[in-house]
Amino acid sequence: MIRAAVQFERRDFSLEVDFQTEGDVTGIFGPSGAGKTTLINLIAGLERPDRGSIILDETTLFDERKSVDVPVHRRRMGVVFQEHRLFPNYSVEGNLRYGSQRGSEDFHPIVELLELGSLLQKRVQQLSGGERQRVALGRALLSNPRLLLLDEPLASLDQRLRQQVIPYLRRVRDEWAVPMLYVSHDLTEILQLTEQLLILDRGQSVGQGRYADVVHQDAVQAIVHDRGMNNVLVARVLAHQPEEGISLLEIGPSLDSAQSSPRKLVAPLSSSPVGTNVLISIRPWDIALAAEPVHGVSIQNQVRGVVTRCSNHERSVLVDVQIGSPIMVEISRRSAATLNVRTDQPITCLIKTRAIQYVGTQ
Amino acid sequence: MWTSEEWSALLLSLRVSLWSVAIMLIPGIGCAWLLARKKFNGKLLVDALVHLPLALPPVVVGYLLLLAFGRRGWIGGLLFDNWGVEIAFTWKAAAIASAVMGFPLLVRSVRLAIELVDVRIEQAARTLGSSPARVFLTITLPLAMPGVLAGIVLAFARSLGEFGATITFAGNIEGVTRTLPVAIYTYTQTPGGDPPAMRLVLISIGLSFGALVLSEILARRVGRRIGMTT
Repeated sequence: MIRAAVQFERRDFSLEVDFQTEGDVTGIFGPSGAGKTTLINLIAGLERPDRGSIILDETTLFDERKSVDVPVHRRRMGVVFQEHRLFPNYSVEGNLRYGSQRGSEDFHPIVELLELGSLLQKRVQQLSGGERQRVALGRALLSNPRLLLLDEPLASLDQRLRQQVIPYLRRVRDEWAVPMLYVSHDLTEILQLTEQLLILDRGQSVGQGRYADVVHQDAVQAIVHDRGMNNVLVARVLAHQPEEGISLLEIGPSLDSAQSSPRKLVAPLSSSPVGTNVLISIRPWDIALAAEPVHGVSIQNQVRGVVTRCSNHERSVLVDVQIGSPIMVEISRRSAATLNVRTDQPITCLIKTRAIQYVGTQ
Repeated sequence: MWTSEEWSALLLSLRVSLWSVAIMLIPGIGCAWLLARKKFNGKLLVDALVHLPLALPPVVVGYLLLLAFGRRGWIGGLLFDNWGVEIAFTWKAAAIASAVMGFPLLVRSVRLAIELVDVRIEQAARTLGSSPARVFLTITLPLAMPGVLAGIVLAFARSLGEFGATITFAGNIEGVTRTLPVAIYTYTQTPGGDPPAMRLVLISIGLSFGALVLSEILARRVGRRIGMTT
């Protein structure tokens, strides 16, 4: 667990954040210029806060009052930067081993986890962008860090490469017991890794906590709404029906499965094999609500659920519906009034097949 | 074909130049790193001081060295009184004179090369648990190596050609401090000295040319190894 209460001022920028992480992965989200990278640099020790303290578990890394400032190389922070920052004068293996002074027994497991075996003898210049970030991730992990700081690790990659690297990040999250701070300006990307968020804007913390909770706060809405507010759900592929151009999915197989029965979704044809789990995203404004199931429409998905929360915002109403997984729906205030949406109300979510996007495999 | 005097001038020049590079290498790299990476009070002054030999007449440098390292100078006196070591008018003086004159060239070249090394890569090395010294030895220096090599060759070549400071501080003693340029000068002042002077001139050209070609080859090889060229 990391706890940081820091102030940092420069001529044209100031950061003042007080936060504490919970859980294994915390996503730091915010528009560019919000101070995400500065915060990472402060925690890593690459920049020095003007005031405040940074505490990791029981270790004080920085405390301005007590004049504690652990130097970068003793902080044991694994950092993956936006640019790979691999050492051009070392091979891939040399890069990986650079941070593990002693012969690390983790070497082979990590090489296997990130599938780096065939790259070991290559030079950095011969790697593709995605491979470079995988090596950078492996290099950081092999330094045996107490906390992994990922600063927009996918920002330099195109969409296709991103989708190739994210599964490795999830593997690290699931198989390597190291807490992470994951910085991104892409909310959907963060949501593929964690629901725990710290939202920054102009050097200030705007909200902190589970995505499903903080998203209802006005200040968070203002930041998140036009910057990738999204539902990211886990779904299992049940069947493909290529002649109809669709695949059948089942949502909620792993999340809260005890609570409610899984729901089926008709989604665009998927390339993932039957039985695998995929991550899908549905924009909150691509879902319509109806009091009763509707007849005679082209919309393929009519999922019954219960309203668990709704919050009013400047332009819209945000409604949480439990449909096996919690899902967030945005409707206009007028619609909300017409439907008279309230908590605990049974409701039908109408989701067009086309509104379902695949964002990755699990 | 060559006389023993010519041979001794050549060998002496090589010895003096190699030693001059050897004694300035570590201070030069240290100084370059300081100027490239650190901010401190009086940096401008240090910078100017390092470059002073480039701007001063070599005779002035030689004379100042003579004052400092002569038997009654504050360094020379110390050395002579305690260890009986004499510097002025020995080959050591020639090496020191060359080192002082070549120092700015080495520092300039290394400094530029260090400035070109991406600080962000050094930062990445720090986050991986590397102390600043280890970062310098494993990342900065290897990546700056082409510049270090170029600096060494420049300083070496400068050393081969050093005349003014050498003749003032080390004198013109045959077989002891008569390096190639001093020998050439001496021959040109002697009647009938033109043929040997010409031979030494050719040797000088060959030596300098060889050093430059060698440095280019080395720089390319190192460049490939650290991935600066493909």
